Amino acid sequence: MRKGVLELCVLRVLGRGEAYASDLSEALRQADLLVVEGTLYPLLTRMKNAGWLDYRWEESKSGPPRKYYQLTETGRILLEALNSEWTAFVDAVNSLKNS
Amino acid sequence: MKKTIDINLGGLLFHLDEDAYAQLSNYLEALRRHLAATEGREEVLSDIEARIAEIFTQRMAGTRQVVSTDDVQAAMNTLGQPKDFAGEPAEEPAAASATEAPRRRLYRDPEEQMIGGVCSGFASYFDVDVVIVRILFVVLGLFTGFGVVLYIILWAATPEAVTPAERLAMQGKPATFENIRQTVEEEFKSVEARLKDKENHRKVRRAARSIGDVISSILTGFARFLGGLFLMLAFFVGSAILVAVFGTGITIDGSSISVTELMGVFLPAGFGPIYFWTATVLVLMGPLVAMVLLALRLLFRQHGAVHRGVMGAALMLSIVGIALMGVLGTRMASEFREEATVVHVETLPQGVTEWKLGMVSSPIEGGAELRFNDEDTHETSWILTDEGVFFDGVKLDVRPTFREQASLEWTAEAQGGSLRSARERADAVRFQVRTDSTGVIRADDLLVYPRSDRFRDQNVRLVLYLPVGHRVYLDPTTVPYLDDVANTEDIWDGEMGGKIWLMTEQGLAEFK
Repeated sequence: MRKGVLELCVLRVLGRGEAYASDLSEALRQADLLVVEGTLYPLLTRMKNAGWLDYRWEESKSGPPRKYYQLTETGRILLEALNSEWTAFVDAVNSLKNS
Repeated sequence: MKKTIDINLGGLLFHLDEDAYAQLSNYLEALRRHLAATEGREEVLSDIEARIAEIFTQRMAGTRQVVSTDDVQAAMNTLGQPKDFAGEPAEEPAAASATEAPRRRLYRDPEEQMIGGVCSGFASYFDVDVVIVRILFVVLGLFTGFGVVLYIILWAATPEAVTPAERLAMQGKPATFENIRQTVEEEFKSVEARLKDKENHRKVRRAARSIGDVISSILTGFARFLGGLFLMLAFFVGSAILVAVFGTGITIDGSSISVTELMGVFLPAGFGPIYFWTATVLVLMGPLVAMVLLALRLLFRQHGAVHRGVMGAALMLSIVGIALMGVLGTRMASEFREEATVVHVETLPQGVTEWKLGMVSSPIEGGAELRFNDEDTHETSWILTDEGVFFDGVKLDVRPTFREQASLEWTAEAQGGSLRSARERADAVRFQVRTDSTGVIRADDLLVYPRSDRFRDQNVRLVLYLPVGHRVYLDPTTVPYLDDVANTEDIWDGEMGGKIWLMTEQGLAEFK
C-alpha cells in the first residue's frame, strides 16, 4: 500500500509543476513520507516507462545535467482518478472510526 | 599520502582516494544487485550516479580536489542503503547481504603477517588454515627455490588489505562458481539492456540467460585452467633457472659437465658464469612475471595499478638483461676476430716406405666431460681437468710430396681478439705423435690447452706427406679423424680405414 501511496504523492507534487528528483525527495521528506532518496529513482523510472511522466534535461551549475520530470496527459488523468479514489478511501476509513 | 583513482560519474571527472573508491564501488555494486530484477535498471543506476556526482560537486564546492570517504558516506546517507529502499523488493535474500559482504578478493593480510602477509592472504582467500599455506610455501622454497621467487612476485603484485573496505573484501563472499556466474549474468543483462528491439526483448533475455549460463561456466573453467597452466609454466621455468644457477647445474645430455662450469671456460675474461646467469635471469624475468600475473588475473581476477607497476619493473629488468647479453655477445664475437697457426714438424725414420697410422686414446683421470654428436661419424668431446682442456679436435690427412722422404707435420690453430693472442693460444696447444723405427705412427686423439686460454676454436691438423711409391695402412681408429683425404677413386673417409693405401702419380690409391 505504501508503494501505491508514494506514487500518488509523486503525482501530486508534480501536479504543482515540474520538479527534479532532489526537489521531489525534499518535498516528500518534509511531509514525512520518504526515508531515503534512493527509493525515488526506480519509482520515477517505472512511472516514466508507464507513460505517466515525462522529463526534459536541464544543465546544472552544480553537477551533471538534471532530469526535470513533469506529468503527461495520462499522468494528469491518472492523478485526477487517484485523487478521487483516495478521498473516497479516506472517507470510508474515517467513517469506520466515527461510528 | 594516499593514492587517488579517477572515475567518471555522470559525465564528470572525480578524484577519489583509494578508500573512498572501494566504498563507492561496493555501494554501486550493492545497488546493481538490489536492482537486478528492476526494469530499466541501467537508467535508474545512471540517475543515481548523476545524483552522487551532484552531491560530490556540492561538497567539494570548488575548493577541495579529492573525494574522501566522508563524501561517499554523505552521498550514501542521502540516497540510502538498498535494503532501505521502500517498495522495491530485493531480488533475493542473498542480494541484501551484498552490502555487508563484497566479493572476495586476494589481498595480503598485514595483521597476520610473518614476512609480507602473502600466505595469510591466501589462507583467507581459500578459507584454509594459514599454517597449511606456509608449510606449502616452505616446501616449495626448499625443494626448488622457486617458492621464494613466487613469494616475492606475489608480495609485489598483491595489494595489502589496509582499509576496512579492503579487509572486508579480503574476507568477503568467496569466489564460488555461483557468484562468478552471477557477475557474468549481470554483464549479459547490461548488454541486453542496450538492445533496443523491444519485441525480441523477452526472447533475447531468455536466450541470453541460458546461453550466458553455459558460456560463463565454460569460460570460468577455461580461465581457471589457463591460470593454473600459466602458474605451472612459470613454476617450471623458474625452477629450472634457479637449479641452474644455485644448484649443481644443468648438464647437456649424456655429459657430466655443468653449463656453469662450461661457461667459465667459454666466456671472455671478466664475464664469468655469474654475469651470464644474471643476464639470463633478468631476460627471463619479464616473461616469468607476466606468467604469474596472468595466472593471478585468471585465478583470482586480481589486477590493477599494482600489476602494471610490477610488470613494468619486470620489463625493465628484461631490457637490462638483453643489454647485458648484447655486451657479452659483442665481446665474445671480438674474441674470434683473428686466427693464427703454428706448424710442428715431427722426425720420421729414414728408409721406411711402409707406414702404419693409428690413433691412441689417452686415458684421462677425472675431469668433467662435454660430449655432443657432430654430424655422422665424429663424436666431439671436451674434457675439463685441472691440467687443462682436452679436446678431440684432431684432423688427419695424407698428401703427396715431391721430396724423397716422407714427412709428418701437425698444425695447431687458434683464434683470438688480436693476432698476438691467437698466436699465443696456438702456441700453447700441446699434441703428441709417437713414431718408431718400423714406421708405426701413433697420434693422440686429444689435444690439450690451458683452461685460462678458453675455448677459442683450438684444433690440430696432422698431415702425413708421402712420396710416390710409399704405402700407408690407415688403422680403423683413424676413421673419425680423417678429413676429406683425397684419393683416386674418391672413396669416402668412412671406407678408408683398415686398408693399405699406395701413393701413385695420380694420388692415393687403394693397394690390393
